[in-house]
Formats: sequence, structure tokens, C-alpha cells
Amino acid sequence: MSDKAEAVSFLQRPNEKGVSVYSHLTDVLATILASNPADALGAFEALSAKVKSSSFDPAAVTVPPPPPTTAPEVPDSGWLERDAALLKPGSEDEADGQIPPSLLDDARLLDAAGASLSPEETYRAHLSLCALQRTAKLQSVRFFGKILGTAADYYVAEARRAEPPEPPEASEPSATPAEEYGSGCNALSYFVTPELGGTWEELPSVTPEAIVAASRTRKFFTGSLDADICCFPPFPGTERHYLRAQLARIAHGTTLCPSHKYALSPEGAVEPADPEAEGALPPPTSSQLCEPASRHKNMGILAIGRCTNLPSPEEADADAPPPQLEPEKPALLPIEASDWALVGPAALGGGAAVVWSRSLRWPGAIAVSEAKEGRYANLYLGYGHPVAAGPMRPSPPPPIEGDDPTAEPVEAEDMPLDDENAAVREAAEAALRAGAEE
Amino acid sequence: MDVDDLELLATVGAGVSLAHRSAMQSSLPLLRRNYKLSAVRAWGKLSGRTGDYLIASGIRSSWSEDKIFFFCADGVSWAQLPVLSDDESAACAAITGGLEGDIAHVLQGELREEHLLVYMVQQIESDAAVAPTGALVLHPSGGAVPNPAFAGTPEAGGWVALGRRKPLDPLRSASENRADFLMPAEDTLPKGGLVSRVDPATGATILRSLVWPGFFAFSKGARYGYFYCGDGAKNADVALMLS
Repeated sequence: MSDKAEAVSFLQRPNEKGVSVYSHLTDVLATILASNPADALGAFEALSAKVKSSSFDPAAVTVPPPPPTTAPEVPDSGWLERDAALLKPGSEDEADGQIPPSLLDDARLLDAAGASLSPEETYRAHLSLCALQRTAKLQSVRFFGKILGTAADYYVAEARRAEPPEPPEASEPSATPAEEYGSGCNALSYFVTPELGGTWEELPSVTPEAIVAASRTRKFFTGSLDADICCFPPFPGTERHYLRAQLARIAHGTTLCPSHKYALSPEGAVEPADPEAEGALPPPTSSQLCEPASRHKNMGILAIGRCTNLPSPEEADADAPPPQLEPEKPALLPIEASDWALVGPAALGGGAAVVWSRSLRWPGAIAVSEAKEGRYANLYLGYGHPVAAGPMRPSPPPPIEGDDPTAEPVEAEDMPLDDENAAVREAAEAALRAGAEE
Repeated sequence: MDVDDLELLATVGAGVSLAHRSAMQSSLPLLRRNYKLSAVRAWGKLSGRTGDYLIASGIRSSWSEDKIFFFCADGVSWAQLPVLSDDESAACAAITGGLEGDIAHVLQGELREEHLLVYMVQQIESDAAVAPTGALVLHPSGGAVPNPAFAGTPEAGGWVALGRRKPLDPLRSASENRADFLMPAEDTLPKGGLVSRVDPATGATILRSLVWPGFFAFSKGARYGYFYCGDGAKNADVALMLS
């Protein structure tokens, strides 16, 4: 009996995990009886290993860190206060002659196209534009869109001023003079801000060399207007000039309007079309209601970086042939069908339908039009670059200048000894006099 | 991402029209039921020359690989995209033009637009797809499953790339290996190719990829997802464009 008791107590001795031979055998037998395998003896070792590995081992358990209990704090850099100040209901008085921004109406067209900001952000943008119009006394202002940057984004507003701003100080004259404010590339002003509750900053007028340089440069915007553009050939200006040049290229390349809405005045300005004037396009028939906006609203930019060619110099040589000028692209030219992808129509309710065109040259530019009431809208939401024609090939630096190989080396004459001695004597006498005066 | 979260990305321009959003609210759950998937997510919108494609991804057992993709043009009737063989992948890699907009368009020989479409989707998915750190855990079957204890990462917390697995470290415990099995997304070259910012209006952290312009991921509390809205082209000049 004592042998049996000793044997049982030996078998019941637990190891460091609390498992003994006795308890393990009990578990294995219980598993066999519960699972009833076909070949219990053949599967005995496997079952025993399985029971061993499934035993609870307190040392092997690592408790994962508890999840955060409170929501993370939103970094508050004053954004909340500025936003609350923007959204406060204020006086909505409009000055005479000012056309209020139409963003809230356009947002309905743009949302049907899937190209608009969220309703809250649209409303915030509308209030911000109204505030801008009041402070800067703008005749009309339009939400141009958003340029995405690496550190911050730019919200862009396109505005028409009642009076031109003061011209900047005269900088050094350049080869191609810029267009005057109110014409060509400088017909409209552009304001940018990194946040809608902050202050809008007006971008300077664009120069032709900035436009030419911008068509060679391809850099992400960083979100700070004074940042340098590091590229070769060097860009003449900071990020604000690069941004203004890209905005000019986007606006003059992707702002569309429906065909029958505007007409060119005799001076070349775009004005609302008079339906009774001769030569006016008839209003759209029902089959044409799904026609997209198909005319450029602004003039096209030429290769020299202006919308208009330079006036020819007055003193022209009678024998010299006239310079080859690129033909100007007036406003209201029809679009190139290969540059735009037409999508739609989508129902808008009330028998109206929206069609929209997406630019294939400037990804992010959308033109939406609804023909029944003749409404249209344009928006740009993107990084601010056109589609790359191919992989970027930065230009190499210019070759190092060498000596002129045709010039013969010329020996320089040394200074005569008397002159050299005279110079040394003068310097010594001047030092002597200075020492005597002290 | 979920169709309901799409408005969080409207601020960066990844938008889907109202008609498509409403259609996807019912067509994606139908797709999930018909194909018996764990989940179906709106993946993105690829633009062709004459039309757009909406893409949805179906998750079977793993949330990081082995997904099936569907496309449609109207948001209602979805069709499954084919699985590419190696030859077809190599042929698609050699094509330089973009999408045409018509799914039956023949590119060359046997290669059609649907092959190019699924090739682009798979490239973006393997290269750019991200999730917040800690959102996924490794299942013993080898796939990734959502972590039920995930309650959001603080803004300094990073992102992990779904397409790149970490080699299992035998010196770490099994539970640590299960929780941390994907490479951090910041290891993407070039440095600065991923930009992560908090949108103060919604409180969501939005990650945008400069290598695949049009790819955006968001993380707000326990909700996260990603969406691609572009033409499927990789920005190979990104290193030259960063200052």
C-alpha cells in the first residue's frame, strides 16, 4: 500500500507550471474519451503533445498595452478661434457695384460632378470670400480652387478689382514687359490663404519670364509664399511668383464657359451675349441641353509668356522682314476636344442635367455646366502641375567658360623701377609724417 | 474606405459624385453578399480619356493582400476584374499611355483595358496602401485582420504599409510579432514622399502620397481607410519635385 501511495504521490508531483504526470494523463484520457478518435493508440503521442501545448503558462502571456482611453487632442494653433470668428453671423451689407460670390450655387453643380469640397468647407469658403470682398473692396470674386502643398495648402480666390492696385516699385526693365493690370494675363487678381479663417494675401502681377520659367519648372508647392524654388535653370522669384504663374496658366487654359453665354465686344472684351444681336448663337435646343461648356473664357497664353504680342518697334527697318509673331488666341475660342474628358450627364432635378469636363492637361481642373438655366462653374483642386509630357530631364549646367583660343597671349609691361621706388618713398614719408604728428 | 467616410477626403479633392455615392451605399453591400466576402470597400476612381471607373476592393480572409477588385462606371452594376498572369503583368508594365475609358478597348494583341486597369490597381495597392499603426494584427492563418482593440493612434503615431511585411523576429514574443508585422510607411523612398497632416475642421489625419498623386488615406479615431482618385500614373519625378 505504501508503494502504491508513494507511486501516486510521485506521479502527482507538479512541475513549475503546476502540471503533474497524473493530471496530464487524466487530461489525455479525458480528451480521448471526449473526441473518440478512430485510432486512439496511434494518435496517443500526438494527442498528448497537443494537451501539453495547450496548458496555461502564465509566464508566456504578455499583456498588450491598454488602448488610449481619451481621444487625442487636436493641435490647436488658434484655428478654432479664427474659425469661430469667421462663422459669426455678421452684417451682410453689400456695397454698390459688388457682385457677391456664387460659390454656394456653384457647389450644387460641382457636387453633382463629384468635384467639390465638403458642404461645411464650402460654406466656410463662401463666408471667407465675402469677408475678402468687403475688406479689399473687390467688384467680383470667385472661388478658384485649392492648390495642395506639402506643408500647407493654398485656397485661391480670383477677383476683379474696381480700381487697379498701386503698381509696384519699378524694378529693372526686362526683355519682355509685363502686361498692364486689367489686360491679358493680369486681367484678374489672385488672393491666396493657407486657411479660410486667416487673412488673404494678394499675389503680385505676373511677368512673362515667370510664365516661361514656370513652364520649365516642376516643383511641389510647400505652402509658404516666401520659400525659394531650388531648380535649374533658376526660377526668377520665390514661391509666390511661381504660384502666380501657375495660376495664370491654369486660369487661361482651363476656365470654360458655355458657347451661347458670352460674346466678344468690338474691343475684344468678354461680355454677356445679347440674344437679339446679329450673329448671336440661338439659345440651346432640348437636344443641346447636354452640351458641355466648350469655350475658353480667357485668352490663351503665348510662348513669350503674354496673352498679347509685343507692339512692333516704331523705328522699323524698311528692308528688314517683319518679326514672326505667334498668332494671338482671343477669348471664347472653342476647346480642343483631346484636352478634355466629357463626363455626364447627371440629373440635377427639375428637368436640369449637369455635364462636366475634366481637363486632361491639368489634372484637377473641372468645368461644369447646366444648360437649362445656363449656369456653369469652374474649379481647380490639385497639386498645380500639368501632366508631364515625359520623364523630367533637368537641364545640365552651362559649359565652363574657357579662354578665348584665338587671342594671342600679350606680355604685360612691368612698372618701371623709378615709379616703383617713388611709390615706396611716398608711403615711407607719409608714415614718418604721421609718426611726427603723434 | 467606407462610402460614408468619403466626405472626410473632400477637402483634398478626392470626390465622388452624389449619384455614385448614393449608388454605392446599396451596391457595395450587395456585392459583399453575392460574393460572400468579409468586407467590400470603395477603393478609388481611375480616370480614363473618355470616362471614369469606380473601383471596389473585396476582402476575403486577409486585409493586406489577396483582395479581389471590381469596377463599374455607374456605381450600381459591378464586374470583377481578372487576375493577371505574369506575362500579362509584364506586358502591362510596358504600356506607356493611360486608360482610354472604355473597358473593351484593345491595347495590343490579347491585352485589353481591363488588364491595364487591374494592373494599375494592384500596383497602387501594393505600393501605396497604408493603415494606421496597430489597426491590423496578424492572424495565425497568415493574413491580416482588423484589431478589435484598436481605438485610434495619436497624430504622432505612424502608418504602416500594407504591402510590405516585416520579417518575423524570433527574439520577440509571439503576440508582439502578431501586432507589429508590417513595415512603417515612412520607409518609402524618397523621404518626404508621404505627407501627413491633421485637418483641423474634422480632426482627421490625412496622409497623401506624392509618389502616387491622388492617393489619400485618413485616420479618425478608430475609423480609417484610403482612396485613390487619379489617372493611375506614378510620379517618377517626385525626388526632383521635392524641395
